[in-house]
Amino acid sequence: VNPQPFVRRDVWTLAPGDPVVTAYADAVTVMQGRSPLDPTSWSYQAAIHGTHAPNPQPSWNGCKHGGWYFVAWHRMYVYWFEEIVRAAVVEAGGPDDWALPYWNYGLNGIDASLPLAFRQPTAGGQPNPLYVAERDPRINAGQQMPPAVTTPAFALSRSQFVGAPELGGGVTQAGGQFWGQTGRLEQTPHNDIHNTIGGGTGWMSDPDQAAQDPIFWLHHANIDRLWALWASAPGHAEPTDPRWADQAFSFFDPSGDPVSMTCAEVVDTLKLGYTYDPAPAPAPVVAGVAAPQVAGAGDPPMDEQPRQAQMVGATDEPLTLTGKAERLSVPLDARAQAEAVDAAPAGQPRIFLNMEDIEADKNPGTVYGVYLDLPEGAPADLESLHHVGNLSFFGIERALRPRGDEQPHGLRVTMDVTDVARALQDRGEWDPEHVHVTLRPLALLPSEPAHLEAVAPAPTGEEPPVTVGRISVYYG
Amino acid sequence: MGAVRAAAPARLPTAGPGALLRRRPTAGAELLAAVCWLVSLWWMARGAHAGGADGMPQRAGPALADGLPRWGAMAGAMMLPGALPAVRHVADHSLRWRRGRAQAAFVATYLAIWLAFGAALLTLLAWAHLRGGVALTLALAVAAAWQLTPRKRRALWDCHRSSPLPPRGWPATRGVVRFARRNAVACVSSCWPLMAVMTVATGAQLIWMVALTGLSAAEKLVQRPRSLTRHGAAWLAIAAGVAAVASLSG
Repeated sequence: VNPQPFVRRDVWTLAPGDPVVTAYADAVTVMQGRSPLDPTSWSYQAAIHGTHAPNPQPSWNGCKHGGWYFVAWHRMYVYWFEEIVRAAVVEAGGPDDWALPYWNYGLNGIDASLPLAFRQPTAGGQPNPLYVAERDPRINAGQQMPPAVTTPAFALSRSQFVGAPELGGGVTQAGGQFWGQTGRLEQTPHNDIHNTIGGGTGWMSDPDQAAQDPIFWLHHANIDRLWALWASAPGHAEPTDPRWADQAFSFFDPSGDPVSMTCAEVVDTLKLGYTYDPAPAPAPVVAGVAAPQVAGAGDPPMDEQPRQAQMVGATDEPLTLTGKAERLSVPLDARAQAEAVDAAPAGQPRIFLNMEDIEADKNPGTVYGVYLDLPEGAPADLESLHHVGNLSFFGIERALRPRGDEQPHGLRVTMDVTDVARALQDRGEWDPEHVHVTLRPLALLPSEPAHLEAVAPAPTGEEPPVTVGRISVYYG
Repeated sequence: MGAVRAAAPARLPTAGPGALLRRRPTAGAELLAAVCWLVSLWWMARGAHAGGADGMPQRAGPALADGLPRWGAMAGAMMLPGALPAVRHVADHSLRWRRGRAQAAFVATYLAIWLAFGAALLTLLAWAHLRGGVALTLALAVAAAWQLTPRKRRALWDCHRSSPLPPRGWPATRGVVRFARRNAVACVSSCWPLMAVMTVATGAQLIWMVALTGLSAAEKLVQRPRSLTRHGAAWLAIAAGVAAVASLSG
């Protein structure tokens, strides 16, 4: 453990002109000036996440999405990127304790708008390296992301790491897998923020371009912080399964030499030599390969959950989303419900909502709020009582046309809706024969007047369609 | 939940085939694959062959009538293991009480498409009058080359594509048939040369059957199949060379 860990700070708490941000901007310029084949260059680092460029170099197109490697791979990725940037900062005479700032958009309000240093096309009369035009223009204009998009609550409320409805995502299995197993943290806020910043055509909406945007790294530092926050809670633990713990991934150090790390080696940020301000609360129990006495605490009961859970209802027809609100009804089968209740512990099954076989040629950049049994025409203040999660499509093109040697699959989103369903039951609003699912596009909020640089119009016209093959309800 | 508790109590089977299918939803398909293996082994022991008595069907009509049942058993034995994840997918995405018929519809459609390919292959072999050794060399060479084509890679990808499965009634059956058709067409596109090799191989059939089943199933079941596919191509090319030498010297 590093006695003096580097401290990652919230970018919105830094004063304008803070050396942490200016040094980052200078380092971006330095890295952008390096050869594209230099592993420490900006474009090479971005290509490690994904690239459209031909002739892939070592470690390119390596990002792990749609499964349980997501958080660990991205922690390693951001860690080695930060090392490379710090080396560039120090070489340029900047602070030697430099650490990557994070963007805590979950605080909402002004914090949910793009930090000022990233929206100004020029700085000091020169092009601003932190600004890119390839974002939703409304984001560059300072409009705020809505709380339904920025919320970490769906992820942090999960008690397990492994499983599609859990924090970290489902097991990435060999063969025979017909869909991804995106975890709650990967979906919201991670995927949703990507889509909201990138919009329909921006870099952040495309895994093969996202890391070219300097805000990408602050976004991922925040996702990393949220994982650390989750892990600090009592009883929360990463998997001890060797398929996860021993899985290694390769990156590059500041010298451009390849380095490799396993997932088990990155569960503790202090052992990696960094922390956050404010620091996540100490974790009383963290299971991992170093803590065999609690081995099993993080083992994947959720791995089996989708198999044990029983389908009790599904839609007959696919749903096509084109940017408009949709409301549909999922009929529940009485016999299947009875069987699932009989099989559930104490006759109290948990309830899962699945959106399956999601396919599209292009990510439209929209984020939909998903609501359970939301009355038609319900006012906005009622939405939170019915909000069970979000649906967005970051990475949908790559899931269907993967790079390298991976198998393609449609997207799938699984949400544990038990708590909302129980609240509906308590209010006498639960329909045992149907579940009504509403999908509403989540719109950006207006800018804070003090930071209003421009008024960007909302996109017009119909979006590229996304097909949701089936919406189903499972008890388990 | 009150509403959930209000549902009529169900009696889930605790023993017998129903309980087995609850614990292992693919048990029926696995049993069918095992039966296909036993039938194929029995036919091998009798010296019979799917491609005809000596691997050279002489006339299309008798060859089909005689060879197709054996070919079907062979296809079931060799291709069902690689299709088990899809069978499992159907089970997991069906209402429990109609899992059996959904899986049956999947397996029937899947095997019907393989049988249609088998009928075409046997007819072609009967028409072409290829000699056993030449046919085997040719089939192995084609199989080795096919392993390296982009079409093979796309077909393997398509083996992992699903399609929506409606829950009840005829839409549910149609959905399963559509999924099975998609999966089987991809599977035929990926593995047809391997089955062609098996069809014309007249000696060491058990070894061929085990090796080709292992290759075709593993290509579908591993997460990154490219290396395996290339190794398969190399082994098939070596086998083609050996078969060519044996054919010339024989």
